[in-house]
Amino acid sequence: MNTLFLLTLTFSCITVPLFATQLGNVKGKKMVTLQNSVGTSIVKFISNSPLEKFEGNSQSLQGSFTLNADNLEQSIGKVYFPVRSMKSGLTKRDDHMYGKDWLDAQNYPNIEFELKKLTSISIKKSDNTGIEFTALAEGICTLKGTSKQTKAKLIVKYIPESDITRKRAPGDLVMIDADFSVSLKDYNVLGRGDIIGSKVGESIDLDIKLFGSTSN
Amino acid sequence: MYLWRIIQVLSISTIFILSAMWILDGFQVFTKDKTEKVTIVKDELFGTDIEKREWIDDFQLGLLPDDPLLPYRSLAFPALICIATFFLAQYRIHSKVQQSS
Repeated sequence: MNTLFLLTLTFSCITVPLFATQLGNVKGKKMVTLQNSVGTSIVKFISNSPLEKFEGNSQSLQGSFTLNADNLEQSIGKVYFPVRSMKSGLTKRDDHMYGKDWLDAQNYPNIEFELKKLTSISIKKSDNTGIEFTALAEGICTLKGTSKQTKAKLIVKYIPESDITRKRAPGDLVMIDADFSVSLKDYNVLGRGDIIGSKVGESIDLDIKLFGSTSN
Repeated sequence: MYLWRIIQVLSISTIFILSAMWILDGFQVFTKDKTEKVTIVKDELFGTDIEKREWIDDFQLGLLPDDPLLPYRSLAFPALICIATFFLAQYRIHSKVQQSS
């Protein structure tokens, strides 16, 4: 019985690290903070409804995340942006969007995404110039006070610090491209009358670009 | 009668001008007060194209108003007024012709 237990334990110790994806030659936990000096982080939101397709964005993203270079799956973090920083090209529509029937900016000023783990990681490139991988970010999206489990597709580019990168910002540089969509009904965003489904799409596609550095 | 003919011509002209503005502004359903200026910049470091986006004030006429309380900021509302004016003028002209004959 003891032998079986020891065998199982040994097997687990050998196999578990094998499933951990490593970030090339990078070691340890890397805390990445969003920084405009690296690039302007932006979230684009796209609403597609029968009456009108419109796009807007926010360029006020803030937050940080920790890439666990020894075990990328265990990366965590939080990114958020103020509701009032969202612009759609129509001042009246923006005012409605911030209102109680929509995103209720007064009571819920921020939209957040909390990264809990990365899955389906696939390293696409790893050389001296940097590392590129795709992954599925699993976490919790909080909108109008409602939190839901969400998955986002990611493309991550990690560039270790060099003379070239230092010209832009100190530390290792990171760019993340993320895509996911949110169903407004799931987050209790009901709007007025039958606007959702006619003038505003039932689900909103989000296209996010984040730029950060490991230097604070 | 002459005055009503001028009003008719002005109404039709207004509809044509507003329709042309609407077409030039991109056939939009709703009037917009801003336009997004997108500049694509090549980012050599990350090997990708980066979009720089900024909103600039720019009125674009839509079929419907941006604010329901300001219906004149649209194509539909002034066009309806002009159509109504055209038919009112036509009615007046018709009445005058019948009176004189």
